[in-house]
Amino acid sequence: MKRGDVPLKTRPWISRRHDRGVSGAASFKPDFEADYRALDWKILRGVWQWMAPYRNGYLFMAFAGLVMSGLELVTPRFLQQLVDTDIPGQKPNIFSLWLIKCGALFGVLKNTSRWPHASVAYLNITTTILVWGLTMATALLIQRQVIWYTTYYGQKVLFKLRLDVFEQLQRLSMNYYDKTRFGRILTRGTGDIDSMSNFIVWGVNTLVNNLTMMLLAAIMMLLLDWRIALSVLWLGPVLYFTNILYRRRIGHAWRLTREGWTRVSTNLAENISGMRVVNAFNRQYQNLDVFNDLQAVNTANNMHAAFINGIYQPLLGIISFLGRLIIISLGAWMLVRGGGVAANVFHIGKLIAIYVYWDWFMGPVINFGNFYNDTMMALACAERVQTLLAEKPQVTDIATPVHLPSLRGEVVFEHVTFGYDPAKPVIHDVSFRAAPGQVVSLVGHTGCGKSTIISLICRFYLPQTGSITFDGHDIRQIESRNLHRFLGIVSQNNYLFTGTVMDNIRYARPDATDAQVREALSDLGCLQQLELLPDGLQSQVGERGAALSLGQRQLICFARAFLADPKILLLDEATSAIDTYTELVIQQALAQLVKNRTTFIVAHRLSTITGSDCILVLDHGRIHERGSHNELLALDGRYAALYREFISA
Amino acid sequence: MDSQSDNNPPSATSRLRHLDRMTNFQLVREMTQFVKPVRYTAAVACVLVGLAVFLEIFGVNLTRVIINTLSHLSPHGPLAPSRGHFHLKPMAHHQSMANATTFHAIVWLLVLLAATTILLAITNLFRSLANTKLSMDMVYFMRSQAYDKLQHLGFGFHDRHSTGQIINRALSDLHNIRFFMNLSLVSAAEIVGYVIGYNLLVAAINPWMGLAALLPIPFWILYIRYFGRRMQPIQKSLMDTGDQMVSVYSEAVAGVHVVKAFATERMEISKYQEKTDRLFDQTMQTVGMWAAFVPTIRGIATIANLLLFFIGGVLAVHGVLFAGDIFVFGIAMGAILSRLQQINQISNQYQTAIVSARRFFEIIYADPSVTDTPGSPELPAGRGDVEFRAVTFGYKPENPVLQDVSFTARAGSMVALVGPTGAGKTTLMQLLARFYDPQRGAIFIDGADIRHVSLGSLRRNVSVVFQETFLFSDTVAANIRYANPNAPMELVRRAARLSQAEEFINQMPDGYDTILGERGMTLSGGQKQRIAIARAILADPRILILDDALAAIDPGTEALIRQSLRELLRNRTLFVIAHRLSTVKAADQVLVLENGFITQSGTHEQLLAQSGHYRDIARIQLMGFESSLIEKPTVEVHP
Repeated sequence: MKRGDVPLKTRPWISRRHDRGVSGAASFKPDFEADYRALDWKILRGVWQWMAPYRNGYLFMAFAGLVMSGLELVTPRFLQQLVDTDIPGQKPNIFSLWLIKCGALFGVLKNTSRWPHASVAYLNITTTILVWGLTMATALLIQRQVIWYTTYYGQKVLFKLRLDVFEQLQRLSMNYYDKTRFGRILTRGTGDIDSMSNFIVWGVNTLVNNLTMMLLAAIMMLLLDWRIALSVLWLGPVLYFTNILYRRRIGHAWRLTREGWTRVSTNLAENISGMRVVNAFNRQYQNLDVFNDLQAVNTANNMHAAFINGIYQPLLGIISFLGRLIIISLGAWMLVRGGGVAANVFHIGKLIAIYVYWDWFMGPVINFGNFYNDTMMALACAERVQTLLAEKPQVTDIATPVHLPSLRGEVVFEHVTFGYDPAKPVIHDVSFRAAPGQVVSLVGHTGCGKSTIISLICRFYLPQTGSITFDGHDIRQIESRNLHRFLGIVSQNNYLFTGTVMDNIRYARPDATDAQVREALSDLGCLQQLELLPDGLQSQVGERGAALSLGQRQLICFARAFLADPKILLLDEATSAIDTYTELVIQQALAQLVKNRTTFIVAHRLSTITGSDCILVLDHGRIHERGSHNELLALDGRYAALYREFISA
Repeated sequence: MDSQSDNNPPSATSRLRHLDRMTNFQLVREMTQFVKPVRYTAAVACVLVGLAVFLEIFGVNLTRVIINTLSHLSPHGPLAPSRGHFHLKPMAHHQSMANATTFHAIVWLLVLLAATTILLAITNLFRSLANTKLSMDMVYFMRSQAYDKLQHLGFGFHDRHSTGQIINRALSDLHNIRFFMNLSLVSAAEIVGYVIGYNLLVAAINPWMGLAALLPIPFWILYIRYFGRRMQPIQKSLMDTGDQMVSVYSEAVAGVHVVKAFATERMEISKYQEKTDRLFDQTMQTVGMWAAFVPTIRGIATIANLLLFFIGGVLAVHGVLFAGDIFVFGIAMGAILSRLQQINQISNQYQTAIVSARRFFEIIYADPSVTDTPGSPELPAGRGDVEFRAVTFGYKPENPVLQDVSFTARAGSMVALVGPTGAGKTTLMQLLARFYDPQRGAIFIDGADIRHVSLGSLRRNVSVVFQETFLFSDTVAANIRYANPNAPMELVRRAARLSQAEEFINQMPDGYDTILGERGMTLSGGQKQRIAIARAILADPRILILDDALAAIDPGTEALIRQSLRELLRNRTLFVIAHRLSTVKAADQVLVLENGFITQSGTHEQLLAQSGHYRDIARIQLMGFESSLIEKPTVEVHP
């Protein structure tokens, strides 16, 4: 937002900014501001597509804006009329003539030819002012409509886009989230869209208006006196190119500023996130020094940008002044020789009108500079949003998915090979079968692929080769919502949403009643523990559950999965953060829970899994051993070694 | 940092409470304390604004003189003397000569005008520099103070406010304030300058006209105030809804694995849509108001303008005014109006800045949960004896989490804390590191009450490895030497070796120079914990606290870490919060915490001999080896 440092020469009808930054303080700044580069028509076409439903509205409002500008453009003529009233030997001007005609209809205002000149002058002044006032009133009324409707269309487009981005994010598969940084994803739906708002709302209007404005002003000047007009209009292109040169320079300075600012903000954000560590290791003073150094660089960058700005802005002013100088000098010369050009007597009023039109002409030229900047910035953001929207989800439902009314819970892996990066498989040729109701445990060192198998069962990813079937149906063919209704997962990465404990527990089944939630909790045996919270089950869990202890959070995740009543239960190191006592409670409940479900357990504590029907020992993505606890001990292989290590520890 | 002592005045609470009652005006006055350090720049900026206003108006006046002179040039000759009669005196014989003189004068006037314009351009350059310097310096100072304050506020503040909220305050809110200070306040000064300047100009030409030009100002002020009063609540709810919308969005992104696992995408979408719909409605509500605001402000100006021109026209007919004069009125009113156009921008920024300032002061005036008395002594030499004496503490004093906790831990011993979730284990350890102060009782380290030693020396001697590991986006080495940035590489390696992290660090692409991603995301939980332990080892504390920091590490590795820690901490004290019996067994002393009370203490063997929580959990864990819980629910363990 460094652009704000440049005093904007805004035309009254382009009331920028009030529609800016809709998401207020919470908006995240886009990754970068646009650098100076050529227009990309493809992106622009994309933006034009977004505007499609309101195109006619946009164009109509641009037209209305034009009418308004046209009305305002006449005002120098009124001023001219007014200034020229002191020319002796006045005739009633056109407005007065209208009034006189109207008056004649009613039998008043007769015989104006016999009026004293002063009275004619008064009449002229009065009528001019009246017509002027009427014109302005109309213009202002139109302006109100233009502002309202244009913003309305623009915001419609922007909000639709916000929703589209969000829907797309919901559609995309885990692989997108793996490869894209959190901050980036956040920016797409917030800062990027905010940064486009000025362009999307006012783009069409600004373009149409300024172009027409400039042309009209030029034509007016040419009509008033083509000699003076031609002698100054060439300054327009000069100003335009100076402006572009300036944008290029300032663009570079802004990039520096932005980078410096990013460092300041990242430093701050990270240190606040890690405030506990900062305090624990007593780094406050060093951190403040580092922060202030970064700030000093930021200040220096801003000063540099201000300097370039300070050089160029007045330069633009001087070029525009040059035009005025030429107008006045030529005007003066023509006034002197005025009588000479008999056909076109040059009045002082004409000179003033040209002078004012010159300002009208220059405004859009400078506005175009700002507009270009807006456009560049908006297009850069639009490009990123378009890339996101064009992203294909890796895992999608097939055209005619299978809908299973119920599931027995048989899970079969057949020669499954999978890698997050297909070139680097992390699961190699894994085959196993879990019969309905069985408990299957996955054992192995960190990074051996246990959690990946869980993710594959959840269909977060699709295997590169081989197949996974539930009750004989390939999971690729099952409809996503249908599939996930049968799945319940509790992972080590317990995640809660802002809201109450109750809201979180019924996350998977929003229609569950309070009584059902309580029942589920008491079945799990943790109702009492959660009711001890300050507001019981209505306690707020805070941002991502920050108000609760890890164990409490994990309990809620358990309850959430339990309430969903899954046929296949996945526990990915689900009990590592719970104290032994609570774990016992859950283990006991699980004994009931797993009865009619197929359960997969990943656990470090081998004591948890000794009773499994089948233990799969994984090593570097391959199944190394399989069998029940006793079989594996008898085998005296890797599992037996792990187990001995565990008991002796 | 001596600024720190200014930050923490004893009356902070009362000032914070006072903040709620503060009017906007008082708030702005409160802001002026931040202008103090930049007062010289501010003075220069003001002078430059004054100069710029003067030069611009001088330029306009020159133009007026030029145009008035031009009207003398017109082929009909000077109009003024004869205008009353509308009778043209023949002046042809004088005309060419008079024209020559006036033309000469005009040339000189134009030269003067050019000089003024160039001077104005130069003034504007310096003004722009001074403005930037002013706002940058001020925000530098404010941000630095907020940062410093945030670092010293302690955990209480960070518990109450989410990270995102705090970051927003320190970044966006200050940005808003800077924007207001830089653009708005300076342009407000300019507006006042120009309005006064142009009015003086008009008044100098004709006092009545000057008076008429003042006419719209009270209407403007009244309308803007009215508008602001109506706008502010809407603006605020708009910002709140925006926050909520972003929060739904960011939660759905951060918790995507939950969303996917439960296939609740549609629910999330409708949650989001509800927020966007509300935001849209509120946005359009403000747009409706702005759509009326802009034309109204201009309307008032237009009415005044027309009135002025009417008077001007009449006066011109009477020969009191000249063409140039009327022209100047046009310019002056146009200039005043175009400045006033900025008022909507300014009042908009003012509304946001006020909200932001309030939030900023909430940080500045917040009460630190622990205060470091300046000049307090260092922690006395010792080996890490710890004593808790009848400590009672609650995050809210009316809800005590720990009650009357007393125990001693000898230097060199290992103390294990055991107890159910939410029993107060973590809290107890956070009191030891003085992240909070107890409401009653006292904590002693090597005989000194920790409240009476400097926080710095205390924290240097007490290191905590937190339950949730936080690593900085920096290299592995930098993360390990966080407590001691100048530590030589050998120490870093040694710490990594002791925490069993060396092996996997060496396997990383750049070894110790590998940059850890956003919050160290690329590492597994166990790896992160090992780096965090290495960090604590390098800090070389007297007392080391592991808050369930071994949970994500497999038992074999854990045993190795524990062993090396024991050796390392032979002369120091180790506190461990753990659930695994294997860990607890090794402790010299086990404290069982239940509902904020220490219910049992002793060695593993002693506690096994007593009936109670400890024996229960021990039996559960040991029994797990013989019979799986899944198969056979063990009902008999209940005491």
